[in-house]
Amino acid sequence: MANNTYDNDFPIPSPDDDKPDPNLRNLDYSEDVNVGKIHESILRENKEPREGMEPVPLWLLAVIISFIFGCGIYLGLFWGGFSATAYDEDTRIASSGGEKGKGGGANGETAVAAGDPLQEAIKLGKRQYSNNCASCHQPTGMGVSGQYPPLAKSDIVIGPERHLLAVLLNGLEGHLTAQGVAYNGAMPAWGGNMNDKQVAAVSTFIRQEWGNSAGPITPEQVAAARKEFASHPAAYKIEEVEALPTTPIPGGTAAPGGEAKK
Amino acid sequence: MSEMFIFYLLIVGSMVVLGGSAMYGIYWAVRDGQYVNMKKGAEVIFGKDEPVGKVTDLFPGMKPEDIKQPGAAKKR
Amino acid sequence: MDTTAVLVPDSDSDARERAAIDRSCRVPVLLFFSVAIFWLLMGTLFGMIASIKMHVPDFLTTFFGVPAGELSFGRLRPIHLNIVAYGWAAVVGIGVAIWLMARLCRAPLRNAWLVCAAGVLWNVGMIAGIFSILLGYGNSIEYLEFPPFVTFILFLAYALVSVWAVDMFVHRKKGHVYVSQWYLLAALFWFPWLYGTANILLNIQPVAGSVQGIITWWYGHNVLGLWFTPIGLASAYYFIPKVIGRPVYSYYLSAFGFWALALFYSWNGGHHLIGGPLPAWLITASSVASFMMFIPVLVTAINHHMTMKGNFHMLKYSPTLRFVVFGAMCYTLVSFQGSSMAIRSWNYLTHFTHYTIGHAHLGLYGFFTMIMFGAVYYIVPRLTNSEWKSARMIKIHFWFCAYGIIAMFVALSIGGLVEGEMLLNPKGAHNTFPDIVEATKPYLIARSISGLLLTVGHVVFAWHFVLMLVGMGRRTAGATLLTEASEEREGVAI
Repeated sequence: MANNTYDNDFPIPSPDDDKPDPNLRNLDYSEDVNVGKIHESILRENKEPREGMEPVPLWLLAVIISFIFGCGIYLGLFWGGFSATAYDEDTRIASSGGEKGKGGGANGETAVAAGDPLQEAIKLGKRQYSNNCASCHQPTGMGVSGQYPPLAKSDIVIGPERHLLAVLLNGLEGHLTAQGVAYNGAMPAWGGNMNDKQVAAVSTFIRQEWGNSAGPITPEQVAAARKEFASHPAAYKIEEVEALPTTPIPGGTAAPGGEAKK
Repeated sequence: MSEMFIFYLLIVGSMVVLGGSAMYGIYWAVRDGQYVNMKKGAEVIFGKDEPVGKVTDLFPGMKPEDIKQPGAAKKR
Repeated sequence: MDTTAVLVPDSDSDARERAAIDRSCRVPVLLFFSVAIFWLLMGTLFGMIASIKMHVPDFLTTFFGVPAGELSFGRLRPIHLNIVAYGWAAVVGIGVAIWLMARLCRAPLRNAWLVCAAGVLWNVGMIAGIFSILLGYGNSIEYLEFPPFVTFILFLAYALVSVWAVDMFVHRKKGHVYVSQWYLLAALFWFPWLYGTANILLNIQPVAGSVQGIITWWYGHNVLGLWFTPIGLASAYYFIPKVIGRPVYSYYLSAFGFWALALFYSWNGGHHLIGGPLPAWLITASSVASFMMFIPVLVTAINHHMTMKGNFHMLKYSPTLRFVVFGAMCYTLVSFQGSSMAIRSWNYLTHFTHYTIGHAHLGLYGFFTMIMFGAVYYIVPRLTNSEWKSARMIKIHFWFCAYGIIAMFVALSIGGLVEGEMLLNPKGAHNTFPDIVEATKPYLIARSISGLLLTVGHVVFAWHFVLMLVGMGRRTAGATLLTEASEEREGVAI
């Protein structure tokens, strides 16, 4: 098994290289001291059709490089900050994500065109809802009786902004009764997975869908709410939510802290 | 943390074993001269009895003479 | 069977050696092939029933008048999946790998008892597993529906195969290690790692929550990419040059393709989970790896095409070549399709639809199974020392299966796209769930019909194989089909 191919860069071609090898089992790197013969076989080799060692065609190399380049771009666009809790590739954690994001891109999030900001928010919120919420609360907003409360005509949804945002940002767990049906589930917190713009959009959407009619929520209000609820990082119980203030959150200005209960 | 232990063990272990074996494979191949004579490598599946140029599979009942090269106007 | 006929002196030793190698493989390989073909028929049967159930839900809900929950779709579908994957594909793959390893090691088979024991154990596990699922004890994890005790048996059986393979390789004739052998050794080496890891993390010490999804699809995709694909490619790289008598076009490219596959393939699993509750970077990494797979696939396609160039007329004359080239073309097609399905916006449309099923069948059937058919057509005559009995049966097999898989792929792809469009638009005028079912029904019926075509092909193949086994193959030596060593008998074809 040991052979001398590593002692020199170019294996010395044996004069027998191009003849059928009677002893196929061994690699034949026998050296030949006869220089003339060596040169002869080298010259001869260059004229032979070189099957098995076709050089990589240039166009293939170009394809490979362009693929590596393109994939690098894709990776950079959609890596979600390498975060363990960013499920949506376009999310930045817990801060205002005011940009339109990579819009119109491969992730299917439609580039929301310029137009009425409210309609933009509802469109974005609708997409957000079907990505994140519809699997439990259903596209019809009716939930699953006994498992996932309905959002249609829900007091939390159309009630004070703080109540809805507390549930959305921090989650909700424990016993509760909604529209006469008892529930005892756990809704995950979405504050870590959605930025302010997305939380505001989906809140706005659900507050006007399925017969609900309540006012929109702005990203500034969401940002303020995050600050308020920062001292209560765990999921809320329904009693705590209902104990939250019912006054509107000032849009854009931070509310005085300390109102959240444990 | 003990339930996660097996998880980490498998991840690190896999990286070591798989990555290490891949590197060793490349190292061994280069050392052993596997990538030196590519032409010979491609022909290693042939032999004296089945040399390059010999067809080794036909429908039952066919003979090599039956093969019509494309473009050749040969009658069987 | 003695190889003492008059031979051309030059090729004598090589022919004898080849005949000796083939002879040593006879029992294990034919055993594996027989078992695999049995499972193929079973898998086809269950697949047909499951397929019919999708458009005739009342089909076979009772068994001779007794309501049979065991025959519900939810059990038959995993049974079909596990039989075709672990009963047919894995077993025929190991059979072909055994013969290829022996040929490529240029040494007769060692420790045949070991690999036969592995085969027996594997089938014990298979039967236990099938019955477990039938009786309701299956897991709900795709590709891992067998209960834990069964996976332990399969792992043990598999470990024996690995031990055998390492032993064979260590005792090979020194020299160049052909690219097919790289692929085979890699497959035999990677599979226990895959199977073991997946079962530890899902059955023995289960991970929590959505991480199970990651492990499931890491495993599921790698079973295709690091187990079936290398065996299929190893076969293609061996049989195409061997049949037409021409070496691979660019051996250098084939080595490059091997390492690129090793590098990129295992990251792909996450593309089954696009849109799921998983970290975005994981999904993106899997999409990137799926695109990068384009490179080894392209390289392999170039290699096969350029090797075949000028020799396409041989497709008329060689059954093995037909199947293997068809399979290799399907490999390119299914891989490019798979890369495209990893793009988020396309995935948005096709995920959870029949499109994915069409893709899966194109891969496991169009690529792997067809190449395995080709391999069986090449190997069996060399083990039984007789030619296949009937060219007509081979042609029937080929055309029924080729048309069958093409029809299935087209039907499921179109049906899947229709389904995807409707699912994305739930508020649309006629897009309720029952509407979607109605809309896809014609395509499901087309799938059942294509399944019928496949069934015919398989039955013909199985019958032909049985004829060969019982010694009713042709005894006339097709001159190039067998080594001259066996040319001692002349006779009229039966």
